Amino acid sequence: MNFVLIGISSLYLVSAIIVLSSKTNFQSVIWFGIMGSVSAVIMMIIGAPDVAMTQFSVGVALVLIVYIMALKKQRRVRLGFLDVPSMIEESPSGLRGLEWEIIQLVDEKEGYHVEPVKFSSKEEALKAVENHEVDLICGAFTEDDVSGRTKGIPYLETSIFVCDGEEIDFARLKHLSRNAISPTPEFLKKSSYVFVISMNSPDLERDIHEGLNEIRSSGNIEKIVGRYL
Amino acid sequence: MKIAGIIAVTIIFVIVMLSFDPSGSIPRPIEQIVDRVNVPNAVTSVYLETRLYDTIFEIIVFSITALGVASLFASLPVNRDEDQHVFGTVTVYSGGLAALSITLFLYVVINGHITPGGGFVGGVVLATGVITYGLTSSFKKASVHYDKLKIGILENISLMIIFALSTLIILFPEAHSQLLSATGFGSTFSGGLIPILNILIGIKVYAGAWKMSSEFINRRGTL
Repeated sequence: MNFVLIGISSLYLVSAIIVLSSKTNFQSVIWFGIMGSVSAVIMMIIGAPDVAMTQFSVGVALVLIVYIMALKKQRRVRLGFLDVPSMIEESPSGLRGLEWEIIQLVDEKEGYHVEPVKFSSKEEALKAVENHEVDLICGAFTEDDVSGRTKGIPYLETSIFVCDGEEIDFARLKHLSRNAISPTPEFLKKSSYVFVISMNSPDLERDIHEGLNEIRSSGNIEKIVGRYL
Repeated sequence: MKIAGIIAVTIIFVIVMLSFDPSGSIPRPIEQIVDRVNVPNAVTSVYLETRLYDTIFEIIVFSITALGVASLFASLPVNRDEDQHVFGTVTVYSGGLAALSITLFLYVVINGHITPGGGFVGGVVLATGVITYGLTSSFKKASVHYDKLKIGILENISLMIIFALSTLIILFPEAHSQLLSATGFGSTFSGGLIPILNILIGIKVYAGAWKMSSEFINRRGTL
């Protein structure tokens, strides 16, 4: 009897630790349900069937349903983008590109509800993110585009070139040369591509940072870059 | 640091487990309470007779919570998304689950003074069953009953009757203990006003839990 109790209690302890150390919210919620059922079994064994019943119906079923519902529609992320080939562009099967893939990887982990909004000019997009109309913009923005009222998360190093008196980044230059307009670029400086984030989305900033670190450490970023650039 | 934390938690856990005696003797006062209240379920006899004040305030806390959730959600726009995605197989089971939860609700609430259970558990079991049905089959169909059976009015009426009966039990303990000892120990129709209180609390808790979760689903959409 005591050994059974100790065994089940150890399961309880282990599942509680897993709840706290889970990488994703969804995993954490599922383990929360397992922890709840184990605790209900313990209550049953030590003679509190009333509490065990409540624990089963509230702690396992109801709370789990509400958590999953909340996670499903956790947060709407309005993603502004400029159509830049191979970075983020519209295709018949939806959006595609390097930045879109990175956003997708972060989204997969956190379960955001991403709503893409298309902008036609850089100024328009930057203005929207400064006024918090969108949470995040992408489309080959570099560190130079980050003003005091926005934040930039660098994810890839790049170079800025001068081409016909215009500053141009690597992705756009590549697109130009692909279109057979042989440009004569001159190297200007080194910079990084960034995701420009609105000031009032600190949680999104943290999640993208964490997601990027994970993608970097798993070596996925080279694969994605190699596929598009 | 992490390892030290895990070791500390494990040591505390082992100490607690070793010093714990689950089959320890029940203290005398509880047996006396069961004797006096004449109801087999010791938990019910405590929370609906000797410690009735606790239950009254618990119900008040629950009502205020439901009110708070409803008024917080009132400022959010209603989700007009009509199409609900469900899986065929789950729909087959969820109807049966709802029926089962209604049966369990009736059993737990009516027998609350004899077997483990009571109003709080019963109400939550029913609410969970109906919400699961609404999420997995048709939320629209599940929410029809709230207006049809006038659950909102029923909730308020049961709250009033709970307060009235509790006041009676607290003001006239002698009369109630006569009522308690008049019937046989362990029969369904024993326990004086306790079964009636259980049923009313069950309705009240069900209505509150359903209201809170349905507001949540209304505003944020189903799965």
